[in-house]
Amino acid sequence: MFQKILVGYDGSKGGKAALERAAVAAKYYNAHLTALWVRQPLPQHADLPGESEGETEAAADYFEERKREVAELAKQQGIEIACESRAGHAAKVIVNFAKDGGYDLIVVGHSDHSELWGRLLGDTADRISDHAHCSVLIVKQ
Amino acid sequence: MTENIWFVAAIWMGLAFIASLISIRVGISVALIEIVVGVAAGNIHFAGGQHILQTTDWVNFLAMLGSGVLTFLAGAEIDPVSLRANIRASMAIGIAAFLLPFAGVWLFAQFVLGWPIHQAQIAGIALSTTSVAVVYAVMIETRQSETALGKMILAACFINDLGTVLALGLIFANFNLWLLVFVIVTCVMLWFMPKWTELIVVRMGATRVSEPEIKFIFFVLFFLGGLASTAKSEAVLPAYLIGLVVAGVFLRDKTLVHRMRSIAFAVFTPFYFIRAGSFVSLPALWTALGVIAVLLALKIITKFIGVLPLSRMFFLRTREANYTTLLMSTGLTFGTISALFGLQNKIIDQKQYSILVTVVILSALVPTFIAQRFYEPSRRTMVAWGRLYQRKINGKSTKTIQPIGK
Repeated sequence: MFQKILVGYDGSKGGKAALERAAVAAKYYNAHLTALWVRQPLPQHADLPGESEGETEAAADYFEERKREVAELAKQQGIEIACESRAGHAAKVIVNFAKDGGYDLIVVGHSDHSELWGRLLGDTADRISDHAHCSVLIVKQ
Repeated sequence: MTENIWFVAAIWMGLAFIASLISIRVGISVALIEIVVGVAAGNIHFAGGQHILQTTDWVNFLAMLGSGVLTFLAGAEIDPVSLRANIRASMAIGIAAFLLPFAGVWLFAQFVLGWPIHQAQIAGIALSTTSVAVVYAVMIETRQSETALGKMILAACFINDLGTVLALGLIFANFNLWLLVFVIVTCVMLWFMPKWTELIVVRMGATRVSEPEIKFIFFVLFFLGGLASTAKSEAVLPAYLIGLVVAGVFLRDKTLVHRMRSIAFAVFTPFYFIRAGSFVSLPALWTALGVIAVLLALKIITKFIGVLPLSRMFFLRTREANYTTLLMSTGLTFGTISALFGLQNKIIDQKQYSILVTVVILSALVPTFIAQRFYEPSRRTMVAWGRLYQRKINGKSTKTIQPIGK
């Protein structure tokens, strides 16, 4: 049913639940699975020496840790999981990445925001389900 | 409560913490947010007219260390290999990017705004700056900073800021015996610092928890700062120069850089930026909006007059030349340091300081926005410029060469 699955993974509790569910689905459907981490863009107008460089290095280290976690899960499930990283607004990047890459399922975790926060600002999962070209699975913990 | 040293420190650190949170949330540099938080805090009073922010001697000392260490780290950011690779273009563009705005703003402030000569000179110095960090931040996301053109622009920014610190350190100095002593001792230290720093790092620095290499650098900065202030010069001058000469050591020892940054950005620089913002008078700004707009325009126009023709001469196409010029029109730290030097030494008044700092803040925002929105070149073009430049420089004379694509 699904051939290409994209999971948004940021290392959070919700992200881990989504990654685990996506791995199970990928194994079941024999689908290609990609884990995507969307990092915040670097600070604008950075004027401290090394500020941008430091943020870039920290982001690279964080991504390496996520890659290790993804590789561990892939090994447990006996599947392959590709890892990608992009900078920008999480929902927008995930939606565009899925569309450009021809993915047919997006899996994301549900955030822990309060109902009030969610109503006021919405959350990433809501935005993705509103704008994605394909099916979206929102995993609750 | 406001006289208790712990509460005073808590207010300053609380503001620094709030600035960090805002910075992370909105994705804008913490330095800029700290200045804005400082402006807000500096313009809020208690019912009795007392300021929320208490400026004490120790706050001034920490802020002073902030500007010194910031300048040192800015100098230490340079990659000596990149500087040498495009030295002719970087030197020419960097010198023009300093001289034209310095002279243009100085003359405008003196003869059009009617500011006395020293006040006009402070205006010229404060608006002659650029910002390596702001330029680097613009280029790093698209990996332009790794290209030949990116490296040339960054090196030109270093030369530009060197002109600014030299002007700040020498124009207002007392030309007496102390200045001579300061110059001689600084030259000796500049000569030996790379070797000494390397020696300390290799022998002790890598493994010692007591951080002797950082203490050594602070010792040298404080000592030369003392000599500079005795000669009525500016402590940022030796700090920037020492940073430049030890840049090679810093490039090899990333741990040392990280430790110094952690100390500086957590403890010193928040005091500097918040304090710099707190002296800005909002009521004074409302009456000077026209002057602010004109000075900002003048800074950008004089940068264009200085940088654009030289960029074209060094084989940049119109798009890349405009991009280079706009990036060199940025500024923040050195602009605020120059304006604060003027205010602390009673050369300029608070209204002039407020005007200059506002122009400096706007120069961190406006040129980068225009550059990224309208003139951002492709990475391929920026890489190709390096090949073209080396071919032309190592081959024919620059006089007969036309810019690429034209």
